[in-house]
Amino acid sequence: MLTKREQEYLKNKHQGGLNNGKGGKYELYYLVYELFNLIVQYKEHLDKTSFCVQKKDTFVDDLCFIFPDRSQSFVQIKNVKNLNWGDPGEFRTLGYDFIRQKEESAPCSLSLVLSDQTVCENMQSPPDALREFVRVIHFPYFEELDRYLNVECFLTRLKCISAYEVPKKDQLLSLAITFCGICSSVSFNKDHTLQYVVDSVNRSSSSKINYIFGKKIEMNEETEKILSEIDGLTFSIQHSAFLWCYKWDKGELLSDQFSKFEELILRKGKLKSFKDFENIITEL
Amino acid sequence: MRTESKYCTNDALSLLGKLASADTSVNEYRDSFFQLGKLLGFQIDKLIPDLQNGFALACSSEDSDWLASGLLSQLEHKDPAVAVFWNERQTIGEFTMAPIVRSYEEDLSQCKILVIVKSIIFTSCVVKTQLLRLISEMTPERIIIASPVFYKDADVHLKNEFPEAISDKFEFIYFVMDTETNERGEVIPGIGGSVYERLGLGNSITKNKYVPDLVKKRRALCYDY
Repeated sequence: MLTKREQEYLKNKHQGGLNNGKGGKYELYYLVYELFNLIVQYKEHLDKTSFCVQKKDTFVDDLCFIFPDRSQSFVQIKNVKNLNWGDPGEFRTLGYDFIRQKEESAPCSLSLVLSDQTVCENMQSPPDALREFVRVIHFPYFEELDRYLNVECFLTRLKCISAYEVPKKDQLLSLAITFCGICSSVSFNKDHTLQYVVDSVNRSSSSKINYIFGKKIEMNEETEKILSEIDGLTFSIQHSAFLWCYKWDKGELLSDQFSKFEELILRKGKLKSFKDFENIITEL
Repeated sequence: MRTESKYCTNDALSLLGKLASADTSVNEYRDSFFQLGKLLGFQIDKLIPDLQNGFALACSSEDSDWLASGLLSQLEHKDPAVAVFWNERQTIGEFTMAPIVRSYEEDLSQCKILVIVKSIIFTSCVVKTQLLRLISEMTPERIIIASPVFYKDADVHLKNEFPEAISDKFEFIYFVMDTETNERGEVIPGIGGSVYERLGLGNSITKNKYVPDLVKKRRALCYDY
């Protein structure tokens, strides 16, 4: 139960946003980093797993995740050069916020995400009252999303949701950008399910990314036969992507475009050469 | 405001003036880019005198037949490998991306010098995507990013997108740097608006239907088509 003083404090605590300056970008990048993992982990329960940005009346309020078993995880994200826990008994300290969140929401997990490695090391020894239930995590901050392609943990999670057999970095970047674009416009203090994220991604970029929840391509047998007869052309289906290669020419079509492509192929009936194939590609 | 780089010449300024003019026809516009490509090629030829190292030239499909072909005409004696990319720009929220939907890529794996040429470097979204693809396929010692026009700080932003191990290899060659955009978000004077329209390729969707003559010529050298 929040005191009046606490209610006033929490009302003013967070005026930022997921795309509001440096702090907002950092929170956004961390959010998508977590989402990459959660949509794999909870792929059978996307509609029962949700997140909330800047949840009202919470002390650890940057992100809140709610899992299918209704347990919660609260995350505070700090892109600062100096930080301390303070006295957890003293109002307005970080320690106080964490203790109060635990009291208000138990059982729950609490995390403090820090961009600065040194600050992260210093914060690894929280006050005794917090020690057992707080995780302190280092997650670097870069202004440009592309830089995260060189952060091993970020790259690993991205690869897990990419549907390419061997994804290229530019393909992973498109995936990350798509998620950032979607999440940057979520409403604050509102629960959004992972299903909402997946649906938004699919609606927004129906032909631009190939990931595990994209619309799968099923190639017609006749199409396969026609394409196989083009000397030198190789092709494969990787979930939502049709990839083709002819010597030094290569390309890909994603689900929606592939449907149109297949229609044109079947209408044509037979392709004699790569030139015929290319004519169809350029008709799309 | 427009400032001139050390590579800028009166010829380059005159050609840039033609690009910026709404009265320039499609053919004149194309030829202006070809001539600007030659001028860029002339500068780059001085920067990469060593013929021993493999050299690769990369460009977008819309830049192939004019800007890149002009550049190539000055550097053919260096026997470059060529890569052409078809990108599709997309905006999601406040983020922009330009995934590669198609490419023509000769064997670049042994090339030690990479030249990427672009009609204008503005948000650098397309160049960034192409670079990401290229550096996964080759290990260049030098990366020359060339364009007739740079928008202010485009070089700084591009460097920030890559770790130092990569960005330290960047060299930028341009004739002018512009600092303003119009209400449509286009650089002014820039290259006179939408490059696809001015080149007669339509819009950002239809331009990807275009198969450059450069690609057809290079294919004919290498394989039956």
